[in-house]
Amino acid sequence: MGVKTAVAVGAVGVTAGLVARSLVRKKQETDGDGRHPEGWKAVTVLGDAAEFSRNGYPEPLQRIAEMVEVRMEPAPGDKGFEVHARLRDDVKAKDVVGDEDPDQALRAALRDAKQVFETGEILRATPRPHGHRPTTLFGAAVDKAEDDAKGEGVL
Amino acid sequence: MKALCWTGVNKLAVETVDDPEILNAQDMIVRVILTTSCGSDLHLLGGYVPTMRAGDVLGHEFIGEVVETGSAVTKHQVGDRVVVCSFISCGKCWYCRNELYSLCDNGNPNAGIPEMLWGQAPGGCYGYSHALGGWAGSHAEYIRVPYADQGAFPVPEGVSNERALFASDAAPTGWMGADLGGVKPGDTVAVWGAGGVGQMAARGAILLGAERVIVIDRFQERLAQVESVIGAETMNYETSEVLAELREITGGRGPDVCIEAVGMEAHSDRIDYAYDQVKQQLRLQTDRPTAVREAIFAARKGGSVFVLGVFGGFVDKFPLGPIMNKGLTLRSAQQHGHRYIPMLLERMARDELVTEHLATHIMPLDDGPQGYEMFKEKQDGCVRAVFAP
Repeated sequence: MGVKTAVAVGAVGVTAGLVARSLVRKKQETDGDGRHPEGWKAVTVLGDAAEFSRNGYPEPLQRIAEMVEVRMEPAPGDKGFEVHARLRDDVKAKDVVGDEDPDQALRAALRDAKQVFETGEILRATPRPHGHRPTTLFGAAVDKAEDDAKGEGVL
Repeated sequence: MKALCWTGVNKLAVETVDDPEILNAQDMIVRVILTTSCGSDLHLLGGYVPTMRAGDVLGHEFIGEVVETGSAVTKHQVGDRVVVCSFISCGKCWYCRNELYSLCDNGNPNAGIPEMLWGQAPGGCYGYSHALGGWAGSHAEYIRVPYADQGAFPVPEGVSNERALFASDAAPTGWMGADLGGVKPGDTVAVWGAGGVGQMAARGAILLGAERVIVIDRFQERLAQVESVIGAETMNYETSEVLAELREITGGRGPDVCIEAVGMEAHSDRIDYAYDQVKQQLRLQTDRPTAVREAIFAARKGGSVFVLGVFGGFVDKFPLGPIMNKGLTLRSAQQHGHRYIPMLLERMARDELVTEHLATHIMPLDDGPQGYEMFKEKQDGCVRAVFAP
């Protein structure tokens, strides 16, 4: 096979791949890491499920309870129980969490509710000792990533 | 207080920073007695871990004295001498209850960052980037220890600071490689890397009953430590045909267990090293898996490979074919130190596990930048630069 032929075959292959990918993406819209189609987010919690929901949920989840639908199920084996939650269409999130992004608020609430239930407190990360923090674009990006970390991720 | 801070790629400085505070009831504050550099710090130093912030305090392997306890701390008192596991784990979640402590659901307040990188978040780690929680490190006069009852362990009388120091990370990490790699009596074990973790993996394999243990590196002073202190055989890859000699040693089978203790900045004399360097420097791959590849090729059919070295992202030319066709078990983890540290401290007290030889250079914290330079460049036979704040 000559070089020109090899290049042509390669180009056809790449083109075919891109076309195939575009056809698939038209159906799926994402690479598979987007939000759940029905909006559910879930954490698995170790402990007694009845205790988790007795007198309302742990405070971080109770705070936003009116804007979310919550479903609890036993987890397989010895893993505890699953807490699934999604935003309700019939409640204005702004009335509950103000300008906070509702998806972020839900993720943070699930993480914190699980942590309070399992460990008794929400682990505080700051203030922490640190040296001089120069103002840089990269530094600002890390700061932003950390500020948003509890409300972001794939949860 | 004084602390050694990362200030940019390959830049460190000793700065004056705020003292740590008790922020949670399960916290305690520890005065750092000794804190050591670790090979995995070099990945942070060199800019290979992208979530570092200028001003971050480095250090995750340390021993100290309790100076303050939170209201919920019950196992420790002011004045106790403790070694602290480098990973931060709650002890209450499913992962901790199953002794998978470095996978703790609650030790990393920045879980959203690693979730985007790896799909799930591991626990937190002191001084190891904002992806692992942004926790201030131990290269400082004082450090905050969250979940103190879980993560700190009393040091037995008679065990020196220089020995117990390595129960914080190097010893449990190495032991885990041998344990979870499945080392059994009679096995032949090969270990890539004769740094602190590799040496501890080799010693762990010996204590778990391995018949022969061979440690592979190129630094003669480290290999000499392996022979004289650890009691394992050595192979210098610059003067050896590693795969052929391992086959010969094992009668053509290959080692039963291969433990990689090198990580994302591996070196070799082979052509794939140049390939990996170019791709890594062009940011076309994040890590250089040279030693992992060799371990996979070396392992016997049906054997196991344990990856102890730290990797952060993606590698190229990963030999999946040999894993599948040889029926290998490939396993890895950040260290589940909490399950091993009490046992390791007991072995240290009985002189079964000796570690103080790793601390080749002990110096004041003020000399931290020079210490890391020595450690990185392997100057003066430096195996670990250890700081006394």
